Amino acid sequence: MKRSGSWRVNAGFDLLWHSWGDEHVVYHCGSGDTHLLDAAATGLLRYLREARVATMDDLSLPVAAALGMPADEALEYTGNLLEELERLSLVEPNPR
Amino acid sequence: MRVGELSPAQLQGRLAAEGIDLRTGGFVCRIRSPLDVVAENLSLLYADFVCEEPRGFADFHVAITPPRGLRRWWRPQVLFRFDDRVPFKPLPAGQAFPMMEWGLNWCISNHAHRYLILHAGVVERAGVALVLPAPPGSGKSTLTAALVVHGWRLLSDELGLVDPVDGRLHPLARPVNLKNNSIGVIRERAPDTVFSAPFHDTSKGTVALMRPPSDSVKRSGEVVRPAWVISVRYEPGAAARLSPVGKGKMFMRVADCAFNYSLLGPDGFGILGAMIDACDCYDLHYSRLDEAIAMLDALEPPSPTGPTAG
Repeated sequence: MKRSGSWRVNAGFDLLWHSWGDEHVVYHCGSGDTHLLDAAATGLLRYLREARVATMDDLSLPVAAALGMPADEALEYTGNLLEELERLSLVEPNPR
Repeated sequence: MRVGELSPAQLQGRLAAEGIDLRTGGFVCRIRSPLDVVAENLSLLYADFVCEEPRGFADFHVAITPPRGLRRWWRPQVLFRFDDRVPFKPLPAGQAFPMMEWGLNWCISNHAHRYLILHAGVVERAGVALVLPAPPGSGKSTLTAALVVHGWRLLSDELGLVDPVDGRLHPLARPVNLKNNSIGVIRERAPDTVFSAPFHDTSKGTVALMRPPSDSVKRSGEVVRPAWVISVRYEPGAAARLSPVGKGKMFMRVADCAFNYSLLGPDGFGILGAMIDACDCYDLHYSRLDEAIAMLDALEPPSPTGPTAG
């Protein structure tokens, strides 16, 4: 699970969206890949896009509030989400 | 002039010489072939299609010809030529006509990138289109054929052509490709419809082609707004059931079934998103065609909406 450092949306490429209720598809203009995301992953990605850079703690707070999770559980959940989004090249660790 | 207005000798003569310029939907295909089986099946299945004046513009130049070489005396084969290139391995001569059909589909799906091209059956009722995207073997062509025999207008049994500007579907009404058991099933439902002879031992098993209704051919210029996207699955013995599917999930399925979604990049994402926006999405599992058709007949189209891209 990712715990340390801060995160940002993968730099240099636009993301395009279509949203229907709790289902969201996102198109990565760099890779040309399309991904189906649930509400939690989409919320995290949109939060990160707006904030530009955020730490795990920053990110897990809205996740805890949105999903009604205890803080430690939300932290782990957020870490797993970030791992998944990093695997899809949608987010990356902030180098600074 | 329509193909059916040419005598068999005229059709055969033109195919063997300069070729015929066959209009199918928005495309003109110049077809040449010295083979009787091609002329006979064109006459049988394409009688209602417009044959354009020779030497005009043609989108695709194809030929179905026997290869040279001694082998032709023992096991005759046939080649599909596209712009005098040979994109496929030869097939047995008896499969010349299905090879032409598959080759024409290949021409469109590999070159007509002004459309988002879906691997889908498309039919129309009351001015709106039902899109049936599915991989081979799902029962898509059988259901498409059954709906057409039942009175829906055929746009295509294989290629859904989505206009990038307004999201409407462009017709490409050509003979419907039926496989194996589906041939008998549809023949039984449409005793007055013209079918080709079966072509045996193809890569898809036995195939036969159903002549498209004259009305569908004549209305090949009428584009249609999509209203429903339905994933079809034939399940032996299952009672028909129609269940709503999330639009995000359907988006991914249709993208998987599209020929040029990746090639169109962000445009493909936008076109497909707008189409999914405008449609109600369902899964249809069925074993009995009458049950499936009754469910589809009862569907009410959604009211037109705008896209929700972000």
